[in-house]
This record gives sequence, structure tokens and C-alpha cells, in this order.
Amino acid sequence: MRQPEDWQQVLAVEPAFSELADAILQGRLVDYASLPPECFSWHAWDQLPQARLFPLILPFLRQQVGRASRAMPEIYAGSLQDFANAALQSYEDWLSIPLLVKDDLPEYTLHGFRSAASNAPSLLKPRDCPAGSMAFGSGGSAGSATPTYVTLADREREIQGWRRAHNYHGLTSGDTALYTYNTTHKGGQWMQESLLRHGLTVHLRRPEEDAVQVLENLRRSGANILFTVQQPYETMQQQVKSAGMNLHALVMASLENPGLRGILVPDRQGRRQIEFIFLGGFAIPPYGLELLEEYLGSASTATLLGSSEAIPQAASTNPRLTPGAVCHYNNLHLLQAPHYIEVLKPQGSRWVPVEKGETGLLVYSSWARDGTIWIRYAPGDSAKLLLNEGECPCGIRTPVITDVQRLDANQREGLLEFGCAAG
Amino acid sequence: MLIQGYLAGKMHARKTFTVKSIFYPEYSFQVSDATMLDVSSAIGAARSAERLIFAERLQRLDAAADAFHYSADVLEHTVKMSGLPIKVVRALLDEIPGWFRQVSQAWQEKVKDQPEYSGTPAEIAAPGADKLLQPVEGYCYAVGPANDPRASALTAANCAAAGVPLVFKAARHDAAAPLVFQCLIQAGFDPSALNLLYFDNHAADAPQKHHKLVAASSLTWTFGPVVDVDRALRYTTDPEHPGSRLDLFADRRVLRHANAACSAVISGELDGEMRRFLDASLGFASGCTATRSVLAVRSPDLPEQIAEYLASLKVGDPLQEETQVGYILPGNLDYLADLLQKHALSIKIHGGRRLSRQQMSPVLVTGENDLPDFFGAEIPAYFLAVGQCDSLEQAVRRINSSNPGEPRLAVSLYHQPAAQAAALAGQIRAKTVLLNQPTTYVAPYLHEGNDYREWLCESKLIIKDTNQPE
Repeated sequence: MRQPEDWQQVLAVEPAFSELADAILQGRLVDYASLPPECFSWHAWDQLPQARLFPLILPFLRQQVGRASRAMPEIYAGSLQDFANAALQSYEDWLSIPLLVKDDLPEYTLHGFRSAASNAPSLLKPRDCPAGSMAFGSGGSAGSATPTYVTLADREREIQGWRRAHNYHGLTSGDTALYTYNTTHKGGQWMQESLLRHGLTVHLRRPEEDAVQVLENLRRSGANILFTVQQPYETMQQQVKSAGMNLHALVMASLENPGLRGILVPDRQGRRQIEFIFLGGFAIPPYGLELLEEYLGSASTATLLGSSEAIPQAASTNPRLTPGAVCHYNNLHLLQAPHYIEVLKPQGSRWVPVEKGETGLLVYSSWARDGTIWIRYAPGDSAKLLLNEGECPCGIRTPVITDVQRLDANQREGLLEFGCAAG
Repeated sequence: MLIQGYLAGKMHARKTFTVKSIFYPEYSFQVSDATMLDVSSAIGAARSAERLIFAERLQRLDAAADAFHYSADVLEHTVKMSGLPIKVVRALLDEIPGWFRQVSQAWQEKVKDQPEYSGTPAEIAAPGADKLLQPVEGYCYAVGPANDPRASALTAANCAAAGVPLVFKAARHDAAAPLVFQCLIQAGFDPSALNLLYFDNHAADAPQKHHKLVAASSLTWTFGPVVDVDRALRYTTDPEHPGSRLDLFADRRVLRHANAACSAVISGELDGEMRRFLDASLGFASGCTATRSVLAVRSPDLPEQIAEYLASLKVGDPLQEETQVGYILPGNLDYLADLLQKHALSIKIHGGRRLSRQQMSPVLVTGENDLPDFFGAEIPAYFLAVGQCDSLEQAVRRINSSNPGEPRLAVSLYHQPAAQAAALAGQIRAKTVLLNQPTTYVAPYLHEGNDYREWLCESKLIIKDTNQPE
């Protein structure tokens, strides 16, 4: 694990990034596919002010807008035509691009693509997709969710992007992680691969293993990092399936079996093997924080926001590494590569960033993606802008959002029951 | 008032729920509501508890007896929740230290601390053979009854003496239990061995909590009717075979409640001594050791005298010191009223005037036959069924025949010829037979008819040298 005195290392701009940035700004690099995948692991993306970031990704946004218009016409239905022909030149132009939604938002005269995509899911795969791809349903394996297509190269970019969050969580090469996630879901798979890329030794939980076995495996493997989930208490009680493996189950098994103390729940001398707990799902629920405080000796924890459509979107930092910072638990720094994340509100015909303290729609644009191209896609989540860029004491420059919620409560339940949280 | 449990020695009330008195509607209080993780913590604590050696356990039990005390608040609370007269409640709570000492003494008399067995109690089973009593592995899960404030003391004292860690789920209004656990912990027992939980039986997750505790225990101790206990504790759904049930009692010891329906055989006139006997036999009307039926041997005037005695009892507000007849759960009085009506043509009824939802003047019933509804049942109210017999032998036969099910919890033989009583005691179908003592004086180390000194332990026989037992 990274030590607090080494935190500054994650704030440094990589020298190779500067060279890359020059190549982009000088027009020598205009195709996102030419970007080396490992560049998405560079912290520099999160150290750029918006004014410098946007010009860097603009060529690729322009590229993707053009592709989306041509290669996914049924989904974008001509909405991008005005921007596809070199009309996208500035941030102001970008703000005029309409939102894409899955379900109609009549209050904003936005028409969704669900109907079209449900009848023919392949419409979400660009016609010019250069390679084989895998479809991941959003909202988990609930079936009728619409797919996001990703190629191997897309996977590599997102996995590298996730590595930035691993650094913010303090994970280093040589650590050992065990995760209980459902690996039939994109999040579970990406988690596994990103940890491998990051140099960790990775252990997974087999579906048939119960909490006692997981704890024993933690001990045998010497894991110091745990990736697991925790649903809200009420949801956990109602859904037997999703409560199968989560932090609550692991804490319960630790409490009942004195021989398993010291792994996750501290032993009588206060010792604990696990140094960091990644708690995924949609957000760390209050019950998860309660477990950490009451039973786990306030173990370090953080999370990453991501979905089948886009990984990563935002992440909190390890509180042990960033004491005094705001970006803990559910306060998340935006991560702008390989997807551009915005929190928007309507302003006339445009969708513009919210002001600090305001809540808006969470929107992402996949500027480096072979598969399904999202251009200002609002999946139905909202977030509140907590801090403007540069305001967080931790030193990561990107804005901090909080209170991420799914606007449709039913969808939230579905994620917890069927999604990667259903470990 | 806040009633809190004990987890590994610490009082806890992370969440609470509200309980109201049926008898005093304006009275309510908060009770700590153990979560599933509290249940897990209790299990873990009990599994890791230190077990003291035999001599230390008895010493600390005696010390706990000296330390037990209760406040006026607890006394008043218990009256308001039980409906029992304040004098009766005070007497019950005052018995608790004595129960600790009785349990300690019973162990000392039965077994010896023999250093050669490293503090394990042993009794001489036969010449050349010692029987070691070793506490069962694991822990005991006990579910306390709602009708006896001494229940936690009974259970905790026996488990402490035996050296068996305990998780006790108390009735939600049991304010004496924390005091019992507190004095035992202060006396030096490992706090991890004495865990006290409260949770709402009506909550959706209550069955889960019970089942988890039962499944993780090696010994379950229950109070209450078998049907009710089985419904709440015994069966759980089988996760491997949906639609099927698992019998959690199948592989573990279960201490169960005997059939109460306590009875007494008495002779003579209703003098002062007999009045005191009846006071003690009947005063704790909602308790399972109260006498419910009496057979008068060669005492034809006794039924009328007892009826007059019952009519003379002061009926009133249980909080008043002079009250002798308190409140009873409305449902129990409804049941009694229905029973009396059902058998109206077969019995003669004395008293039984319904004064309110929760109060009825004491009832005495006489009849030609030993109606099982009256002579073989436990009716938790101020009620007595009285019959006539020509001899003690006949009384014993009638006691046995009117109760064909489980043996009665206790039978008292009062003012009977000593030699005859002793000779017939073994024929009575009862767990305890008391000679000249009321049925409410059942010993705390043998309350359910099971000798807890044996039940809470595994026996191991040590046969020494070449002296074989005969």
C-alpha cells in the first residue's frame, strides 16, 4: 500500500503526457486509436484544468461525434448532424450538442432510444466498429437492459483508466487483493484485469464459497486489500440473492468465529490484516459506513463510480492518504479519460455544467471507444457538484461530485439485485 | 426507562423499540433491539469465553448473590408489566440472591472439586469410579419467558455454575435480567460468557435471529408451551431444498418446559399456616409453578373454606401494597370465562366476577369429576380447581390420571402422613414433589424436572486402578 508521504507521487504530471499533449495540440495525433492504452493510467488527466483538458480531447470528441452520426444513425437520429461536419470547434459548441437519453424526458423534449434498441440491440454497435466486441447490459443481467459494446482495445483503455483510481486508493504493485464481485459483469471483469495490470496478486471468490471460506482464503492468501460490496440495509434484507456475499456477511462471519478475527474485524489486540476495502456498487450506503466504523475500526475505504457504459467515471480517495481532503467515501473526483464526464442542467436549448452546490444529470461521452459511442449520454443518474476544479485539498484537480443517484429507484434496486453488486 | 442488553460485558442499545404495558396504557419504555450483527457478536463472544474452574465458579456465584440489588424503578416497572401485586414482585426479586446460593450449594453438595482433575467437578459414581462433569462444548442459547422475573437468574446461575457460556434472549419487558448479568459479571465471570439480548419478537427478522442462535448453539433452553416454542425456534427453511424445513432441534440438546398444571394434596382445616401455604401457592398466579388444582383428603369442609379464603383476598391495583389479587392478561381471563361457561353444568363456581378486561375475582371450581380442562391444565389466572379424596393413594391416582400428558412440573403434599407421603412420592407423575412446601418453592437447580448439574454437562467416567464398579 502507498504511504501518506508518497501521495505527492500521484499528483505529478507524467513527462510522457506532456509529449502526448503536444502531439495532440499540434495536430499530429488526431485518432484516439493511436493513443497508447497505458496513457489512460496517467494521473495527468486528473491534474488538468478544464480549460486545458477540453482542447486535448476535443479532436477525439469531434472524431466520435462524426462516427456516431455515421455509424449509429438510428440512435442519434440526425441530432449530431450539425456537429459532425467540423462544426464542433469549441467548448461552447459542445454545450449545444443535445443529450442522448434512453427513456423519454418529455419535460426536456428528449426522446429516448430504448424502443429502437430493445427491438434491435445491435443498433448500439457502430457499423464501423473495427474489431470483435462484447456486449454488456447496463443495469446488470436483468435481460432487457440495452447493451454497450466494447472491444478488446476499449477494455484495455478502461482498465488502464481504472488504474488511476487504484493509485488514489493507495494500491501498489506487490499488494494482494481478493474480490467477491460477480465476474460475469463488466465491472467484475474489469476490476480483475485492472488489478492484474496494476501489478497486484489477485484472488477471486468462487460463487460457492461462503463468508467463512472467503475469510479463510483472505488469511491463506495474505491479502491486504478486499474488494466487495455493501447494499443498503433494507435492500439487503429483502433480497436474499444479493445479500449472498457482501461486507455484512463477512463481518457477521468474523464476529461469529473468533478464530477468524484479525483478518477483517480487528482481533483483541486491534490488529487487522486487511488494510483497504474497496466498496463498490452504486455508492457506499450509510450501512456500509456504519459497518466500517462500528466493526472494522474505521478501516480505510473508497469507491469508484462506473457502469457498463463507461468505466471509470469518478472515484474517491483513500482517507488515510488524504487526511483533511473532501474526496472521501461518496465524494468523488471526476475522471475524464477515456470518457468525458459532465454534470449538466438545461439552459435554454443547451445543456451546461451546474454550479457548485447544484444537482444535475450525470452525462458521459466516450471519446476513446471503438464500440458503443456515447455522446452526451444521460443514463438516468444525477449528481451534485460539491467542489469546483482545484478546490479539493487532496491535490487532484478535477471537480468533486457527490450524492450520485439513479433517478429511477426501481433501476437502483435492479442494479443491487442483479448487477455486479450481486456477489 | 431503557432496558439494555449485555454484549461481552458492555451494555448496548444501538437501536431500540418501544414497548407498552397492557395493564397501564400510559406506561411505555424503550428496549435495546439487537441487530443481526449483535447476534453474531454474542455468538462469537460465547464461543471465545473463558471457562473458570469449578471452585472459582461457585465462589463467584456466591459473590454475585451478595451483589444483586434492584431499584424501586425496576420494582414498579415489573409490576406494571406483569400485573402482579407489588408484594409478590418484591418477593420474587428478593429470591434471586437465594437462588444463586442454592445453585452454588447444590453443586457443592453433589460434586466435589477434586484437584487431581484440575478443577473439574466430580462425584463418586461407584467404588473406584468417579464421574466427571464437564461443561458441554459451545454455548447455551436460552429464550426467557415473559411471566417470571427470576428466569434470567435461574438460567444464568445454572450456566455460570456449570461453566457453560450463555446467550440469553430475555422477554422484552424483563428489567431484572440486566441486573442479574451485571452482578455476575461484577463478581468476576468472563463477560463473554454472559450475553444478554433483547429483540422484538414481532419484527420480520426475529425468526432469523432465533434460528441463527439456535443453529450455532450446542444447547437450547426454552420456556413456554412446546407448540409455541417449536413454532418460533425449532423449524427453519432449508436453503438447500426450498419448500422444505430443517429441524434445528434434531442434533442438539433442548431443555424444554414441563407441563405446569401444578397440583397440591392437602388435609385439615384452613388455619393460619394453611393460609400462608395457599398465599405462597397461588399468589404468583401467572407463574408456571402456581398451584392450579387441589385435592382435599378427608377434609369435606375445606373446599368451602378455601372459597371463602379466596373471596377475602384484596383485589385491586397491583401497585398498592395491600393488593393480593392483581391483573391478568385479558386473553387468559377470556379463555377462563369461556371454560367456565363450557362446563357450567358440571361444576360449581365460586367467585369469577369479571371486574375489568384485566381483572377477575379469584375463581374456585368444584365438581364430581376431574375435568382435564381444570385438573390437568395450566390456567394462568387466580384460579383453583378443588376435588375431594378419601385417601392419599386415591389423590395420587387422580393426580396422575387427570394429567395423561407430560408429567406435572410440581406437586405438593401438605399435611400428609410423612411415611406415606414419602412412599407415594415416587409414584406421582411430576418432576418435583414437595413435602409441606408450596409448588412455587421448586428448586432453581431442578426447576424443569431436569437436574441442571447433569443437563449442562457431559459425563465422563474415570475408573481407577483395579477397583471396578460393581
